Amino acid sequence: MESVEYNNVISEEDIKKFPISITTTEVNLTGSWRFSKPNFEEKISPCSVGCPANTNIPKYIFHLLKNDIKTAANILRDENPFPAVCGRVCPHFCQEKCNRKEYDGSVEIREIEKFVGDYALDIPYEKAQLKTNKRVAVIGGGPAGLSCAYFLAKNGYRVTIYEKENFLGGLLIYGIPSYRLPREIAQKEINNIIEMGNIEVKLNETVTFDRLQELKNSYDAVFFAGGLSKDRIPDNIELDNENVFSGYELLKKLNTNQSFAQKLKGEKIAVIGGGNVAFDVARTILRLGNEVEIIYRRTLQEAPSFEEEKAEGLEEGLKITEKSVVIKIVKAKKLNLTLGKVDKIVNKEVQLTGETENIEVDRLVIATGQAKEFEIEKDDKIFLGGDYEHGAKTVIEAIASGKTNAYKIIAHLENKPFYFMNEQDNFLRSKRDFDSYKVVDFKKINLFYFDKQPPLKTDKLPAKERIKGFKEVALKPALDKILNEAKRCFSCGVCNECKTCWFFCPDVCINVKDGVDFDYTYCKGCGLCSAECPRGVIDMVEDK
Amino acid sequence: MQKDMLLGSEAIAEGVKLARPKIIPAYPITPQTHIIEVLSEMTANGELDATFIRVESELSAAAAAMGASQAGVRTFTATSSHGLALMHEVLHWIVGARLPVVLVNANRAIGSPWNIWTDQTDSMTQRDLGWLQVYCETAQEALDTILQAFYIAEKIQLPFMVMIDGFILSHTLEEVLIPSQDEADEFLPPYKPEYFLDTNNPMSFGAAAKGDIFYLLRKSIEETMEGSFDYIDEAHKRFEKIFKRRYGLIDTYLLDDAEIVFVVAGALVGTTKVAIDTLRKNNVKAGLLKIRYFRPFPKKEIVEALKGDKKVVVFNKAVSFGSSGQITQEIKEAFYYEDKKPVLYDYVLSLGGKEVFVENIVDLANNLDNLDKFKILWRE
Amino acid sequence: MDFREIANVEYLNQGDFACPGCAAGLSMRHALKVLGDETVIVMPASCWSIIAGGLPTTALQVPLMHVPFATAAAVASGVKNAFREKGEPKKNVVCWAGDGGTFDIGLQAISGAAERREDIIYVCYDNEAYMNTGIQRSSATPPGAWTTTTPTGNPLIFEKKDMFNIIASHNPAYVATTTIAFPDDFYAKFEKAKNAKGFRFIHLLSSCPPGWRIDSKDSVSAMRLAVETGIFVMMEKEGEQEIKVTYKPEKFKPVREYFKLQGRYKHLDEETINVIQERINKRLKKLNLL
Repeated sequence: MESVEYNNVISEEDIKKFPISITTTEVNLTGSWRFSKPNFEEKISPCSVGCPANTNIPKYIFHLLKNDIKTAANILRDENPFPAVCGRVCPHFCQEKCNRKEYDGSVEIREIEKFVGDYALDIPYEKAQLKTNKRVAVIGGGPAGLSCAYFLAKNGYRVTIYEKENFLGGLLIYGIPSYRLPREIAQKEINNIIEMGNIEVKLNETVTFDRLQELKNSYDAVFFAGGLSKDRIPDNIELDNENVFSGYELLKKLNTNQSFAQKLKGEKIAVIGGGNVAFDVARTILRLGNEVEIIYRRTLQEAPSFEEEKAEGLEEGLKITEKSVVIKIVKAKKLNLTLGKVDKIVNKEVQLTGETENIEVDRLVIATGQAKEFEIEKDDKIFLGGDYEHGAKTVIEAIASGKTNAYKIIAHLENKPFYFMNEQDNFLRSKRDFDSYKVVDFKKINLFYFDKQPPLKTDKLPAKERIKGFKEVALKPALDKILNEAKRCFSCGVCNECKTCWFFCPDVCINVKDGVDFDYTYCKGCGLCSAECPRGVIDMVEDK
Repeated sequence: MQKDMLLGSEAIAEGVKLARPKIIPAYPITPQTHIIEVLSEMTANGELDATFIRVESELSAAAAAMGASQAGVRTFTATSSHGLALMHEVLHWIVGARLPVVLVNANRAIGSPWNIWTDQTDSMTQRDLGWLQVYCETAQEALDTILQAFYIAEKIQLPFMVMIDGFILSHTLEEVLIPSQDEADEFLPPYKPEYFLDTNNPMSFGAAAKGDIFYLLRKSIEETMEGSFDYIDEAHKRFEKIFKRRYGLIDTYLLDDAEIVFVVAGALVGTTKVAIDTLRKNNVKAGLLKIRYFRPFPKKEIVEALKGDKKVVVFNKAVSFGSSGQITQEIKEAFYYEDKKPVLYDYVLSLGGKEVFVENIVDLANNLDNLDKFKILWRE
Repeated sequence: MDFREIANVEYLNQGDFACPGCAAGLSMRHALKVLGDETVIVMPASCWSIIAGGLPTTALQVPLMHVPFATAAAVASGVKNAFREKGEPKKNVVCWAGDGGTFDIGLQAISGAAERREDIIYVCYDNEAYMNTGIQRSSATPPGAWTTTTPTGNPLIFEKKDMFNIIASHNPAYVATTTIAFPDDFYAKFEKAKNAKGFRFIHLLSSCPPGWRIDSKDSVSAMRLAVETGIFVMMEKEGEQEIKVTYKPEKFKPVREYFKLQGRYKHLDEETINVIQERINKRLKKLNLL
């Protein structure tokens, strides 16, 4: 008999007289009954695999919902220095992979990212410390270059950015129109990176092939992300930069030359191409009060531009001529274009039906892609990235490329092997903020805890309003809508301290605070915490 | 103190009222009904500040009493016969939980066949529970014993069963001295238990016990029983001081020089006394030993009273089939280590209310030598 | 339900003797979170007689009284009236009993207490058999279910006793069925029971991994499936109001899904399952749920 605990409450004599219990059952160490035990193991959400930058989406959403938006922003920026930009222009591969997609529609991660990103615009980064004397040259101040510089600087490296224009940002500044990405947003994120320190910027520095070799000798490593600066123009067309422009050329000109924009007003302009650039150019000149027609060799459905761009363009009054190519241009007072109807395209070879049509336009814009200016061989000091390396892709892919190369360079300079956190998915995070690389699939989600609720519908400026100027098309949802959408996140594989495990522990063995603690002294190993965890964070493992 | 003519049941209710219980759960059964009717009346008209719970069975009466007592208030209930039998399981629990519930049992036969009249089978078959048992001779004794019962039960933390013969005592008018409330309060202080259901000091009662603890708890019940004589004695002295009435564990009548002694428990004492008077007139030296306390069994007092060359006739109003009358058993057992043992006659009489008249007892005394002392004796 | 809003205070100690995954322990833990420390538990023979720990220990941080099998409601009547007499009428006096102590041996005392309008809360955690003695059939055992005394399955001539309506016919202050697998429902009903005055009764479905022949990790999902298949309907009746079903799924799942999870039903053939499904449908129709 454990009489000692009775002291002061019940006398030694009375213990033998009254069938009274006042000591706790904690004398029974029920943990000894166990065959298996719960193990807290944060995993990978499919969305973060979908994201080329592998952002820990559930984690920042968790902090947002905890009302700690600053931490949310930092988690986001740990992997991507351009959240406000990506919240606008990223096609959100993450949403394609969202486990909620097949349940009631993917979480509108983009809107949440935009919200957090905008909030973070005014939060400067912590000053970067210098940890080594090694220096890296970054060629190209676009998203890939800036991203690479950011991750290098953050890790203590000294970086010099060489940019041929007189501004940083590349496409973010002159390529993507401001109704999709307001310039000041991009500019703020760029400034935040530069102000972090460790980064020197050299503007108006065109790096030719020869110059590159020089830089290679004066830096410990070079990251080349010069983009695709050469226009790819159909053979039968010649640019004159007066009536016939390349897409980027025109955008750049419109950005820098107000009187030129005025001159264009009221004209009829044709744009050749079906990519984002074609639509960006078309929608931009539409806003200057022009009649615009897109001429594309395939169907609109096949056009590689974002669906959203196409839809918005049509709403705004773009005219699209599908399955057509310009076969002849006659320059007179205006441009007379002969369009040939495309029958089919075999191995990139266009076969015409023979049918033709003539149209008359004031100017013609060619947006049929970009190409490399010159070829560079990768070697132990030269790292290639961005569009230059992988061809024209999205902003987020450029950012991811910059990030991956930054870590490749660091590994190289520290004489360590570079490896992805998961080779199969090319998964890479600045922080190892998960316990195991297991991607939590839909089956692992305990749907009981999630009522069906359709995704957030985002509002846009009406088309009529849009074409009057360059106001941002996407409107910002109200805070409560954002938070509501954030609550839809399953938080796959990432503990959001929902306390479901705690609730269902019959043995009072779980403490949830900055993760989950199990009291193995008493845990009987029933497995309810694991079975009920809505997001697959707790696993049962054998325990002898 | 006030003198009144009361039915036995009314006298008991008066005694209960004076003891100021807080909870009275009860279920009606003949011949106990008058007691609880009067108590219902008293609680309804405010004479008694208590809650009367009209439970749906005796099992629940005992259970509710157990709950109330465990919650720390003075609790009373009453029953009879089948009712007591139905309570049996809970009566054990009340002992194990050491709850000082006081219960009045109007002794009555148990079926089959149906029979509502008095014998002591119901309470004798509950003798091993750990309840104190007192058998009352008169209404006055019953009233007084209830006050003593609460006093003693609460001192030693064991429940107390007070027996009265059904009808013979419960339904008979008698002159009774009713103590004043002040006197009763002086005798019986408010109940202040040490351990009870208390949300400020939570503890659990009756959790499963392993043999070692269980054994100690049971041993303690026996030790308490053995030690209870001192408390009973103290209670009797205290009672006498306040009420001027003297009680003992046993009582005697013309015992000292008696050659034939009748051992009796309950209201049959009265009839037997008349028979003794008759026998004495005929120069038969008869006497009486009244068993008041059956539990604890006052062995010492009984041996002292019956020692010497006596023939002892034990009147049992119950029988342990295949053995003997329970009172006989107890007396035999008490004499086991005595050198000089009386001659004992084990007499079972008055089961199911079969009437016993004075002449039956006189005849018995006159024929004693013809009787078989090795067998249970039954009336012709 | 946001579990983060539930109080951290615990009235259940660690080291209780519940089997791994036992819903009866879990249900007690949460019931006490709602009822609070001004609560006294009266407990008849049941698994919980063991779960609560042996002398001199107790698994609860509120007073607890163990009582004989058939007596919980009567004991609680005595306890409650005693508290009222002592001037503490607000204490929650709660019976915590299994299905055996409720549906079978304790039913008379419950009926008595309900009819007398005793101001107590009676909670039956129903694991659908005498589990403490090793899985014997009770009148709460569903037809078809295996127990050691229904080795070929509880004959289909039986139906699980309709405790809810038995209690409801006593016109209690509150009567409800629920399960901890639906935390919102569970908490709301205990809250209502706590705040009502008079006789209150909560029937909890409470899974038993050894008795139901399920993996301990499935003990909550099994109870959830019971509700989702309609074999257990969560409802309530407040005072004079009509019976209200508190949870209706978009579409009831076939009872087969519930059976599939449990070894106690593994011997059932298609025909038997269909008979049981029909019965469920009939009842759901009667409740206007189909």
